[in-house]
Amino acid sequence: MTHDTRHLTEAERQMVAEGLAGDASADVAAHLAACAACADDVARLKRLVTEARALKTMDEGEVASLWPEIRTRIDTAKVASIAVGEAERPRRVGWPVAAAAMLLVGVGVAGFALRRHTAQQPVVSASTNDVQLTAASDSVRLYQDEAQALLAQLELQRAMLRPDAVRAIDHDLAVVDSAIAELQDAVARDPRNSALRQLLAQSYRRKVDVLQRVGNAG
Amino acid sequence: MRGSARIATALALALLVPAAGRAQQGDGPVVRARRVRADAQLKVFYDAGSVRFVGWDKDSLVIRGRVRAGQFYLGGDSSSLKFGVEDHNGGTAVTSADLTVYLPRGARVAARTVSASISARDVSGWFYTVSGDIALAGTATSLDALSMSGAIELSAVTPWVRARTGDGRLVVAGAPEDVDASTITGPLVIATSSVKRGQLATVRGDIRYTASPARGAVLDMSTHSGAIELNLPRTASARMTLSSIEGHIEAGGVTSMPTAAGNRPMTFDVGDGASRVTARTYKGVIRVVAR
Repeated sequence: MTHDTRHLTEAERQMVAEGLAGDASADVAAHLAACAACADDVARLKRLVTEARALKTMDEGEVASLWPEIRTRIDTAKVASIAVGEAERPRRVGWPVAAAAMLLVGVGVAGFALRRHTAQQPVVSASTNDVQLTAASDSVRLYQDEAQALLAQLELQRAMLRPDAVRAIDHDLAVVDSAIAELQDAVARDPRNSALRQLLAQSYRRKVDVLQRVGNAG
Repeated sequence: MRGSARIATALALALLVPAAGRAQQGDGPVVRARRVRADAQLKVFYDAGSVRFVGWDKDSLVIRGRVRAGQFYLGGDSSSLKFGVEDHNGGTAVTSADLTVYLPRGARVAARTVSASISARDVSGWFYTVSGDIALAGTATSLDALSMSGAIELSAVTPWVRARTGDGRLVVAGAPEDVDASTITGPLVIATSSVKRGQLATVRGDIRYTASPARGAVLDMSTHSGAIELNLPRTASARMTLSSIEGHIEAGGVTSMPTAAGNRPMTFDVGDGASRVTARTYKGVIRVVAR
């Protein structure tokens, strides 16, 4: 086998790198001595094999220590872009919740069979929260738009409505608007709270409900 | 030919009306009677008094009762009819009547009043009043009950129901499956275990759920400042997810104050967690009580 005119195949290079060249090793060695390109490639493959074998020797603890960083990178990549006014606040479960969790799980005071409590192991992951935030924000926008259109209709119809209907509508709208204002303030303070945004979406939905009923009150 | 058909119809109604009259004499005199299709559409409108719908197994419409103010009218054909009380001369500010309407069970009603109370049994359709009360019972294919400020009481067997009121009390009982119910300031009470999909919401009104969630049910309760009370039997089975931003949560004798709890829902299983119950409030209290 002459290697003067032919470089080593990929399989041959791999075998050399892994020390498996066997009977062909003399010819291969001769070629590598004469061919700088193949020698460099084999040297690179040997380094890779060595590093790979070193990885295999890591114990479970060392592997586990890498996981938090990997998970952080995955979670960071998953974050949906939402227009928010301030940076994400770190979320921690406060001690009252943890205490409540312990009591709820351990004692079962009221006779409930409480199987799991996830205060220590949050059920709402960062990515789930993002999905909820996005959905709730979309709902708020849709209901806001619909409410705006219905409000314009209400102003056109107002003169034709019965006084008792007008009173009921204005009262209900005042209650809903007050709740919306309160929730908007809260969302501005804590923009990544999905429960707040869901409550805001619900309040807008109630406003749309009230305004839709106006059409029947004429 | 057409004349003989009319005579036959008139004879049939002449036989029918006394029969109906004997059965419902307490409803008052017959105002109008007409043969209708089993799936007829009926629109009703008047201001004050009351209207009661009763579904029956006959292909006819019988209206009994008394018109207090205004002129009764009935129009349309056997598949689509409209009746009500109107002011012909402009001398009646508010039309008023107390009527009981017998109609085929398969018919659909669209009723609209101002202050007249509405009740129905074994009738499907859409019921709207500004300030009157609504009470729907029996069996129906769907029910839509809307009031600006009146009370609503639902105790029907139906696959779908939607109910909305402002400051009236809203009670859902009977055996509905898919429920979308809300108030503004009125209390909302759910007293049935039949609900499989429930959207229950108020702005300021309290929500009280007194039942055992059906297996596989998904119930979502939401209020801005009302309290939410979940009154569950000891055999209940649900995954509970409770969030209160500024209020506190009481569950199993333990109270969680609103600190970090506002940011993270309290989640736990009751029984084997066979249904999903979510309760969310901004500043109300959430209570889970075993009974």
